[in-house]
Amino acid sequence: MSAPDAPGPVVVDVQATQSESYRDRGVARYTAELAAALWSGHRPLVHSFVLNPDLLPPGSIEPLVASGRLAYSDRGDFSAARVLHLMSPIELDVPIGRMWPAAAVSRGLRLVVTLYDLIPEVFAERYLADPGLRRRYRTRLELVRAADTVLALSDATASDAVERLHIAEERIVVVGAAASAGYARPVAAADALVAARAAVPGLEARFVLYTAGMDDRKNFHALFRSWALLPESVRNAWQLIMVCGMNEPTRNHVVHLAREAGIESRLLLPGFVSDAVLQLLYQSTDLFVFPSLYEGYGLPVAEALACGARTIGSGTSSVRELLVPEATFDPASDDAIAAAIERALTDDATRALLDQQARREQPSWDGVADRVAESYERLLARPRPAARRRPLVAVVTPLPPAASGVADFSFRLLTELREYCDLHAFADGRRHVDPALGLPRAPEGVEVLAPEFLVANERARGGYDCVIYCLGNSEFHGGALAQLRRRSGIVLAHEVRLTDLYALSGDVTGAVPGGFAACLQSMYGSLPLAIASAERLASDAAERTGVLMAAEVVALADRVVVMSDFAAGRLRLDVDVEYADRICVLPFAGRDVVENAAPAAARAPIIASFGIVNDIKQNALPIAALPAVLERCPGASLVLVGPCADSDRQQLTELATALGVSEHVTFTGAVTDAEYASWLDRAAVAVQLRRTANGECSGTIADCLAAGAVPIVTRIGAGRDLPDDGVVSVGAAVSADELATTLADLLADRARRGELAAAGRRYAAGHSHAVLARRVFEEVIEPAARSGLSVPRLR
Amino acid sequence: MSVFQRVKSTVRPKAVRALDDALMTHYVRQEDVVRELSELTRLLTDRFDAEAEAVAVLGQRLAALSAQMEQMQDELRARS
Repeated sequence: MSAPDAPGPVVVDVQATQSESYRDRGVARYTAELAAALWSGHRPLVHSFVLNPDLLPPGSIEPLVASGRLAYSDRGDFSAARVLHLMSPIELDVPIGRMWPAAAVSRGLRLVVTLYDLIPEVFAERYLADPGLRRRYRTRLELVRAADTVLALSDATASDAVERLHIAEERIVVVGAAASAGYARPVAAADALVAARAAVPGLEARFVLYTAGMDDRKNFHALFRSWALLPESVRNAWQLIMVCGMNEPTRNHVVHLAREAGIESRLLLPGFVSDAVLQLLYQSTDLFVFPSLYEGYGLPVAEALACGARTIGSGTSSVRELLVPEATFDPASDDAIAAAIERALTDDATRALLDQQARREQPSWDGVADRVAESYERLLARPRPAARRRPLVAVVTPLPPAASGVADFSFRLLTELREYCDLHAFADGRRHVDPALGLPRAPEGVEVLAPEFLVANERARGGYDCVIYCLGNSEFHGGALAQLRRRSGIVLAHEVRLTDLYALSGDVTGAVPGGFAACLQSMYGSLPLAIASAERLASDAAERTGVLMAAEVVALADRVVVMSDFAAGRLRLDVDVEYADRICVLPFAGRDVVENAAPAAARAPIIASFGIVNDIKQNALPIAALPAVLERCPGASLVLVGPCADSDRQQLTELATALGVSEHVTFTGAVTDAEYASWLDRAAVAVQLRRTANGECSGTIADCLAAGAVPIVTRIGAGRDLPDDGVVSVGAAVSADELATTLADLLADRARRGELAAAGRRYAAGHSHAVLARRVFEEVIEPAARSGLSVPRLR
Repeated sequence: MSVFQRVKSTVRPKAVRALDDALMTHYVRQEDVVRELSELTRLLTDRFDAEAEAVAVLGQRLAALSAQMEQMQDELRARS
């Protein structure tokens, strides 16, 4: 049958059908039957039937598959949903986040739960003796208390909910249950008996049926004792058949109990029987007896009655609601049970009454669905509960004062994101920050926490609508890597080569399970032994062998955002094809355009290189080019702005001295923000000549563009995305002579410098953090906050 | 064999036996310890899980209350 176009307002959770422990039991059956009846009779109300993404779908939901409304709870669009109905809230094997997803509250969904019984609470000494289990069970009862509507299966369960959970009566609706369609009166009882006797070896023509589990609460001991109290004529005339799955030791125990009671010879134990055989037994028995001390509903009684069986049972809990008073007995009294059995078997008036009882209209699933639908309608008529106004987003990232470009980038991004959502920042890499520099800093209004508390904090705050992990190839991101393994989310990848992240995060609990070599091996099975067994991979070796170590992160993440087409393309080569479409590109953001920057054309001929001085940046090249530049532009000078290791400084100084240009070269070392800005404002030309790339975008080039310093760049990696009219490009293998010509031409052509700077500033204006924040919100956070109800499954 | 060694070889087993007898009531089998530890671990894990679930329920209810408060503030602002 084709699905209606518009989804209804009610999300029905049917994960009980998937449960390992309940799959073949009453709760799973109830769930499947009610869901099918709701779809059959009230489909405009149904938004979807949701499954637990951590568990496999069972065969019993076949009718729901045909509805076209079956979905996993962690994906799909639930924006039209207004009610969440949990059919099995007390399923302790399932984490509560899968049961009652945080998004159900943050999006303002009303909560409906089905309450089958409070048996563990009523018999706490027996069922909740284990303190851990007790605590878990009672926590789930809090979930029941939190519900807007509690659907009870019986008046007895409803009373228990009022008395024991103190739930207001007006929030409880008794909806009942019913037997499955196969449980019906026989066309001919005689034929049923013949079929039953053929299916159950040893079954006599006249028998009394009892079905139950081995739980003491089912009271089969009392039934045995009562059977022994019956007149011998009755015992000889009728066989007692106890249908129940049991293993051999249990069977031995039951036989022993029967022997003690003196009824062994009149007891038949066929073990587990199929539904079809059970139906035959109900249809052909002379009496069904159900002495259970306590039930939430009493499904066997409903099934027996549906099959037309004469039925007697306990006059306690919910069982009495299904029977006429004359068909009940005190289950605590062996004499009362024996008397009731004898009357039901030998007294014509009682038999007639029990026949009449079985001819009454029996509960149906359509009726249950009608009552459930009415309760939905009543809830839907109420005003919608308040929903979270703005998404609550967690960002795991290094923050200032960490010596990381990502830290500064994230600070600016968080500043702009505040306009769209509420933020919690989890400061990563703190162990690598000198405590003397102070605590991690976030923009005003953004709470700062430690990454290891991400999951615990999410629980306490009622869930995050989105979690963003900022990753780069350094020791500052180990916390993000560890948490990504526990809680799925969006990865904002500043670099796509993550070899150093893995190598340097071994001391972060849970970040690199098994160590670097194990992770490397799991991602790349066929590496040469010398590389595969390494504890760290030098960048040159990683570049040469093509190792990124990004595949695992992509597999763990819901989406991976990179900031250049180059990074996206390179990353897609590292991952399996099914993960490739998780990768998306958003534009890199630099600093805001510097107002009142010195006009490019008017700047002194200062050539600057910004950022850490090292071999990959090819800082020796501009020094080697400087003599030729000075010939054409005698006032020129070179400034290397940024931290520089002593060995690098000595090497470069020796080169400058050898070339006779040492007085024209300045090393600033590490600089303050103000000094950095000052050099940006003074430099006419910036040389940023990376030799290799890890997929990162250069923050320093973005700074140059924003400040009007004309960058000369190698067009590698993300450098290809830079504007043609805003930068001057050279090859990655540019020679000193070629560079000298480019530099001298540029220094000599003030007009061209002015045009390039103007274009660069336009580019920077379109690539601000404000622009990026808006796009991150619209293209990443909002879709994540809308998609699914529960947290995406960890792959 | 020296006199010392002869005395030692005679006395040592007796000393070991005496020590064993003295400590016997305090001995526990390693497998009992492992079983007890495993049970303790299960209890603690259950307990931690349960506490985490309790926090989650509380967190959900607090989130609902926060949203309700925000809504009321909005309504108050709109009225004033």
